[in-house]
Amino acid sequence: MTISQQVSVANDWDTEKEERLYRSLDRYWHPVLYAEDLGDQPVKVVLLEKQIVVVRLGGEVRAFTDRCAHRGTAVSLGWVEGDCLRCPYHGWLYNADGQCVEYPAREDVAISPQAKLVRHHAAERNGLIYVCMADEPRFPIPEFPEFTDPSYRVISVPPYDWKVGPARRTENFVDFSHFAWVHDGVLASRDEPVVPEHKVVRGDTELRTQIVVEEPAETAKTRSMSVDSTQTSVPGERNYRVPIPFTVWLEQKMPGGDTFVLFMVCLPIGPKLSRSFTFYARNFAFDADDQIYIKFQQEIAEADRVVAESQRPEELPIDLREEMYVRGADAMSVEYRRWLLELVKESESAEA
Amino acid sequence: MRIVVDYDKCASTGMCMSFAPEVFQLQGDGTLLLLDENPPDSLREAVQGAVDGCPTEAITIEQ
Repeated sequence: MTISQQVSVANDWDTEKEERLYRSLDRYWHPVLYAEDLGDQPVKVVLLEKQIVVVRLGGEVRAFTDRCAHRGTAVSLGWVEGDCLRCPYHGWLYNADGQCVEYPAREDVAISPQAKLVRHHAAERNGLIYVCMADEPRFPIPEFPEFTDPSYRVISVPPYDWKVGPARRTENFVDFSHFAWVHDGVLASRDEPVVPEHKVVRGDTELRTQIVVEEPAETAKTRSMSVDSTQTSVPGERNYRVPIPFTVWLEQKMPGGDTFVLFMVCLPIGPKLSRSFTFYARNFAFDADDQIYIKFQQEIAEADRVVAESQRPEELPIDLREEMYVRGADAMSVEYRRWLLELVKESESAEA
Repeated sequence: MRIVVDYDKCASTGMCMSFAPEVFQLQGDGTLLLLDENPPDSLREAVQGAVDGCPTEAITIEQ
């Protein structure tokens, strides 16, 4: 075991500015798990260091702070009875609104209206369970139309955790100049490190850009996309949407019409720990082995993880001066950071 | 030379300051302060670096 694996190294880059971004994150919808992983019993998740229980009650997804009003027990240890959630410690029974409806120890005692779980916004969308802990979510849940489009086959990549903040993880996905270096021969080539011209546009809820890249032909063939086998590389048109704060929708079109969409959304477990959920939707090779695509995404993510986890601070420094930028190549990073900073200021002024 | 800054484009990255600190200064609140709107020709190379290096293309030189 190396030293870096043994100890957590404190660093001078643990900054107040980094924390300002983290403190603003409760205003957003965040994914907490794949919808298929929420069955008929409660599941505990951690969002922004808060323990949350998600559960299906009466056909609806509900989220509560995972703490029984009686003795602070994790109600996620309990179980669903009808449309209610039973705490395992003393049997308190909570309805879908989080209100306690039964004290088994004294059925004749009136139930206090304060005997309830703290409820949060919850929704099932895009194959994910989303939670928002603020009164009013700042942005709507992002769109992922391919998820229900029958012309696409949609598969999910197992969630993976990185020891970085969620904005670092998201920015990595849309950092165009690293492809040639970290993904040499896979997504791009070190022989052609120049990032093509692209214009970043800010919409109401997302950043957008389009970029045409030369993708190594072997990679495309690996993924069974239609490519001219006489070529060493093929031009791929990539359309990016970055719904704020931590989602990336990437559509890649090959010349033959084969298209895939990657939909990645990041859960801030804590200030320096993020979990990525990823869907891969393709309109070709429905009969191919899905594991090919999953393994491909895992290999890319693992290469990214190593460099991302080395970054200091572990979250984006929202003071842009703390890092450097290359005109043209880093346009997405600049606009992404600028928007996050505006939102941090908006959040802070709302609290003041 | 005369320097013009488009403050709507400026993202306060501080790249200009890294080239020509005699001309560009970012304040504590992140706003850009133009120290010298008409810098001497001896700073032309540094200012041109700031123009070329600005990631949001917020700086131009007017003769």
